[in-house]
Amino acid sequence: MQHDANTYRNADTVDAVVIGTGAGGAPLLARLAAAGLRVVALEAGRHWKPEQDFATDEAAQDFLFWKDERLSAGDDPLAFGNNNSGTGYGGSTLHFTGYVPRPQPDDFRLRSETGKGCDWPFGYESLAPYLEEVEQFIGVSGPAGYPWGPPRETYYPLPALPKNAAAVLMEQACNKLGIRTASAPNAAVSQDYFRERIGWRRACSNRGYCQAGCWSGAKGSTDVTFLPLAETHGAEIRTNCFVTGFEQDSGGRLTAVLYQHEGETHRQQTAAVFLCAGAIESARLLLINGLANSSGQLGRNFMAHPGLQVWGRFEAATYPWKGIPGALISEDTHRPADAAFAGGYLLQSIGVMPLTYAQQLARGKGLWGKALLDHMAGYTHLAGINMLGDCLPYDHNFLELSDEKDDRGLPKPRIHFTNGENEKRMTEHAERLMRRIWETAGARDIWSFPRNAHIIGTCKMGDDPAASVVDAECRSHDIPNLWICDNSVFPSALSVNPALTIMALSLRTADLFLNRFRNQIV
Amino acid sequence: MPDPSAIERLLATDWVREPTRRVMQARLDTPFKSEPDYFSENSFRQLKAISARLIPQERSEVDLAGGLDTHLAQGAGKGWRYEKLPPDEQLFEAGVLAVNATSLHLYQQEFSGLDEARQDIVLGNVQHGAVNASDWGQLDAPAFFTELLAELVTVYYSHPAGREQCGDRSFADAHGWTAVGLNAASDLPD
Repeated sequence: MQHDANTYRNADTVDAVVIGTGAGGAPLLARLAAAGLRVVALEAGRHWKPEQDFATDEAAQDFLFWKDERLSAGDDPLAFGNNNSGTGYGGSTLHFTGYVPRPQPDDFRLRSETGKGCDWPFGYESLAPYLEEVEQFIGVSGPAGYPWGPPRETYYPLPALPKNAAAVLMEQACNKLGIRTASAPNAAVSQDYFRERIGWRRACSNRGYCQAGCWSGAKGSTDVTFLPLAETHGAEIRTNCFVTGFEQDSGGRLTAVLYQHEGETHRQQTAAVFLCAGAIESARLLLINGLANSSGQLGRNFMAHPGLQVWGRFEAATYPWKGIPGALISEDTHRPADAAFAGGYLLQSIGVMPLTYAQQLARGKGLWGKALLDHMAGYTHLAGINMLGDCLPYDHNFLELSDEKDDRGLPKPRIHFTNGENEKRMTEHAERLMRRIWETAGARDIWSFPRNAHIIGTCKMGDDPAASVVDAECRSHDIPNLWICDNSVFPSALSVNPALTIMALSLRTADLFLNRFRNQIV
Repeated sequence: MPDPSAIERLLATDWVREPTRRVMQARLDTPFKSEPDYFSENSFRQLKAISARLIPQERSEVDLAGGLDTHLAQGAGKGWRYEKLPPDEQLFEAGVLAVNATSLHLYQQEFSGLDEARQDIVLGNVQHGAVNASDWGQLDAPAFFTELLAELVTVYYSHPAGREQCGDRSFADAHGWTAVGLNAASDLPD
């Protein structure tokens, strides 16, 4: 692998500092570096060497998760940490499952079409070329055609990954019920995959521990895709650097980023800042510093996808750790005809790692003693399905700073989350259908685990500066050289897993920025 | 029937990558803890008895109470907590003592001194919130029960003995899996 990364001095005024190296920060970092800009990324976590450091063991991989404590409030308080919040060179993509379905055009027009939720300030067509570019670059494995969404000129660069037991069971049952399914698009490469400046990535070995970190580099997390690309183009990526604040000039423009590294405060001068720390940390950093909030919207519009799982035990052995967990997808419920709710959801088959499943049994079913051990003795015969549904924004769901301080002396964020009527109705609809699919598949001991997945909102994108934090280019309405680009800017939650959309949005944001940069209108 | 030595034999083969073997072997090699670092002496004694009912082991292979004590003493946390519960530094010590207080209230005996049937009644009452405010104060008994159970489950199913109990072979990670699908046992190690 070729590395031409630069080393800048703090006193050099670089063209841009990018905060965070996950799905939001890494693609734009690579794009800006490729355009010849002097860019520095600041990553709070470490740079791991997966081949040496990653064990096939959930508890031992705990270091991948964001550990600064968050307070979960509301009637459906959210789990963070291993549920959705990563750290390290690669950010949360280190533990993402690699699910990369595309959003559909109507996802961007929820308000226009249903009267609920929020429209995006631009449409699907504006993101489509970037979705395509990301799929080709990270090496998405998927079906030869895709039954849902608009027709495409090209589909996926690699054939679908093998269907594990959960996928086979779901496919058989859905065939009987007349529900269309397809192999799920996934960011793990099904064959060895070569990209210029990056080299070869080895084909996925079906190890099934995607959520605990991929040691082989098969999964297209940013540590094996956009970050090495950025470095070959000269970007400098500094790890173990936790950003705490900014300096501004008298006109309000940011002039430097302040960060902690090995116990010392550093100050990197820069012409522009891209904040890509995720829906909790991006909003928290700005709230702590009292920035970019003339709208009062910072921290509001917080959303989390309804993600109820249905589990069952089968006569056949399933070995639920084998293969990518979610190998089969159905979007037939994207806009169900009999829906008593706005928006819709998709279905995914799911395998599961043993500890994750046991913890869910404890939290969701409250099993203990002999009942717990008896249930777990059937682990090798389990399979699941889960929903992933749109989530509306509500006034009662938001992030704020609490009075409690964390180990760094910074206020812990408090996140209020309660599913609304729309999410409850959607979840009931999905649970009925998933139970029917699992009954048809021959499952016994069917049970459901309510959960919400992915964290979205808090730095809403919109055209109206009084009602949103950033504009349609992801630029702050208040601070002309601050961009925010991650899941925090999504005006609506979309009814798909967010990583692909975040990466596409990141490339779009970079191109719009470069247009300004070249025309000196930054 | 689970064979407790099967995993140890498997760990010695080239089915397991070195980083994974290191983690699993370390758990096997960790001696049972006699002195707690996080818990007080009394609460540690009660915790051992509670753990034995929440996850009853045929052969006491996994040091459930010791594993939790070590984890809490490290202060790593999990990145979040329910706002209604106190921080881990207080939660587990206070919760275990409250379970013991519930036992004293019901049976005028410490939890660790009860027979198994009575221990299970106490734990069932805690899980379902059938407890006295005088014993629990502001602490939410069912929420504490769930946190404790989830932590002990983590200790148990991380340990090779727990992996064996549930038939897990995912740690045999060196070759990946070629047989993926229903009843795909052909590539599993013996």
